[in-house]
Amino acid sequence: MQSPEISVQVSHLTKKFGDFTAVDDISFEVKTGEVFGFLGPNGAGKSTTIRMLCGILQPTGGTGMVGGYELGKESSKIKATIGYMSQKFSLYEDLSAYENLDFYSGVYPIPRGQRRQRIQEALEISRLGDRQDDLTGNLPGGLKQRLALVCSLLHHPPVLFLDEPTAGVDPQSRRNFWDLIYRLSESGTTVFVTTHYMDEAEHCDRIALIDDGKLIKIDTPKKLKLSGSRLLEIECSDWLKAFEILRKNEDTIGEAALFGKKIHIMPRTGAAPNIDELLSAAGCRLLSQKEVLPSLEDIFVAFLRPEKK
Amino acid sequence: MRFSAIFIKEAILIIRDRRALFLTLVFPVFMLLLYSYGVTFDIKHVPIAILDYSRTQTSRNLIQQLKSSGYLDVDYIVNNYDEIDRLLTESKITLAVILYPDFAEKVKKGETAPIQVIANGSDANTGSVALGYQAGILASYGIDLSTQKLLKAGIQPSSIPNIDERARMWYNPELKSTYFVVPGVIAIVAMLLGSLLTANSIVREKESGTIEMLISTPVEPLELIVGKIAPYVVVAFFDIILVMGLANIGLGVPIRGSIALLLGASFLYLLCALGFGLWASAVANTVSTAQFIVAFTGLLPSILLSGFIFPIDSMPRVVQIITYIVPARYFIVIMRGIFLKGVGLNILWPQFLFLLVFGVLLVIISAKRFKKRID
Repeated sequence: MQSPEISVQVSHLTKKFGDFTAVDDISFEVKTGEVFGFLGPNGAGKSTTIRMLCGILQPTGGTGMVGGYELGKESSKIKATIGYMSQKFSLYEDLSAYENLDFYSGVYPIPRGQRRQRIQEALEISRLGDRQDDLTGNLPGGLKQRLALVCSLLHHPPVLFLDEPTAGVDPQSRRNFWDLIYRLSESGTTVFVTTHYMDEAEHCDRIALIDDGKLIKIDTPKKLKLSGSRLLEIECSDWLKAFEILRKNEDTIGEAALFGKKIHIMPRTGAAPNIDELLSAAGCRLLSQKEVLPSLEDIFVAFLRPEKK
Repeated sequence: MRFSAIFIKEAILIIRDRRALFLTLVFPVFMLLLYSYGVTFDIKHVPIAILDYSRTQTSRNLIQQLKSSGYLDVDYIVNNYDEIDRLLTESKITLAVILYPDFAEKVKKGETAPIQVIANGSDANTGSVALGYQAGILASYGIDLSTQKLLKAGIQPSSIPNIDERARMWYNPELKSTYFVVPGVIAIVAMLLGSLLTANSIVREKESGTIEMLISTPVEPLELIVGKIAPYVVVAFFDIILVMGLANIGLGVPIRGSIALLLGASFLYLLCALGFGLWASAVANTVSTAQFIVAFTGLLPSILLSGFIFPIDSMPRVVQIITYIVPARYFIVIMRGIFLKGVGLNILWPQFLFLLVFGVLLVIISAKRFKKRID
């Protein structure tokens, strides 16, 4: 049995499509009330994992528990326990916002007497206001996103799965959205979210890095950043040209990445950085040079790169 | 409750979707009127040309006979062969009749008088029907001539042995094409609505991604399928009744058999149509693919291989075999049987049985396949 502190738990979860292994032997646990981020590039297996957890796809191998029910065997119980929101928002564009809510309130296990109240509550949370009778297709992206979220919350699911919920939504709406997520998390809802936005990953309590179907690392954003090696951040004149030069010499100095007008270098162990010489030879002047803590993006890139090479 | 939520949602979507609304309300009426008035299979007023080298009273009498038949319109009296060639090439005429200079003379002498008739074979159907008409007219003209000759010789024509053919066309004595078109129109309308609309509505959920959301809810696949299809059954039934009512009251097509049986057959046939739609939904991932599949498996065979327009008896053997698995073939037999002949189950049971078995099997197989895809 699953302890009440753990709401999602999988071990050796695998999904194959023919010869292609989309999810490769993944094991992890998600604590109740946690905001758990699933971070990885497109095609890494994020959506496939979330679909298996929601009972949309059958796993090829491995076991798991969601909300206290066994994956693959108690699908219908899992489905009644979870909320799911996909990257496409899954709304009926030819129905009004209210009609969408009404439909989903009929589809989820909600006592008939409570339906009105739940819809009202959803309208308030999503702040749809006077647009509740507009056709969903005519709503702006941010509103659609909030509507899709509250649709999947109508039955008060203890576990919420969000598959790239903020794709194609403006920054302000994204912020509002994350405020909502935090409120849910505080009230005890477990939130499992996939994303490829680094800043969003920072919002999560814990992050799982996933690439090519494999789980690479799980930790809090802070610990992930500390675990990485320090970076060299340099500023120089003619930064584009400087970057080109450093890029060509990556083999001796280490990987270089542009960060605005600054350049981040992940120093190669054992290599003597002769950056100054390299730059002055090309006529670029080094303005400043300091060690910085890597950003999540740096960590991400650092973890993914070696595998690809 | 989940079923009713899906049913209501689908019903709202039908009302909101202008294309669906057009298909359900305007299209059936349009089809019925088009096939009944516009596309008439009765061939009348066939344009013909006559080249009269004879220019005698006898030849003019013959021309008069051709004119007065009502089936042929003598639009051109021409003077030479080239003109006939031109008129045929330009498709201005379907038939050309050429009377030779010795026509009257041979008739007078009591010899056989040859007449040349050229038909436009590029429209083989009309051409052959027109040939039939003129053959009939010429034959009766020939009999007239013989009768006159016999009378002149003092012989009573009735004393000569003869076969008198008295043909009657049962069930549709006036050979009104509306009568046999209506069952075909019902078959096409029901197939179109049953298959195309259901396929559309299901595959649209795949395209928009809403199906994924639905699968993540506790909705059972069967609830989903039945809930989505049921509104279309209602709509399709409404349309079938609409077309039948319009045909009966508006166009005067008689319903000689049982109306309950008509509706029963329609229901079974609708089941087949839904099966095609469901099959397409299970296989296709986009609306356009689904429409393509439905058009080729459901719709086109219903028009081409059902006996609606082209008689099955005159199809090549291989094609005839294929028609045995076209539900519309059986449905049209049932419709014509009930509408025009007034026959019942005692005669039509094999057709009913086929529709029942075919429809139930197709729906079950397709639903299973669909369920497998979304499980």
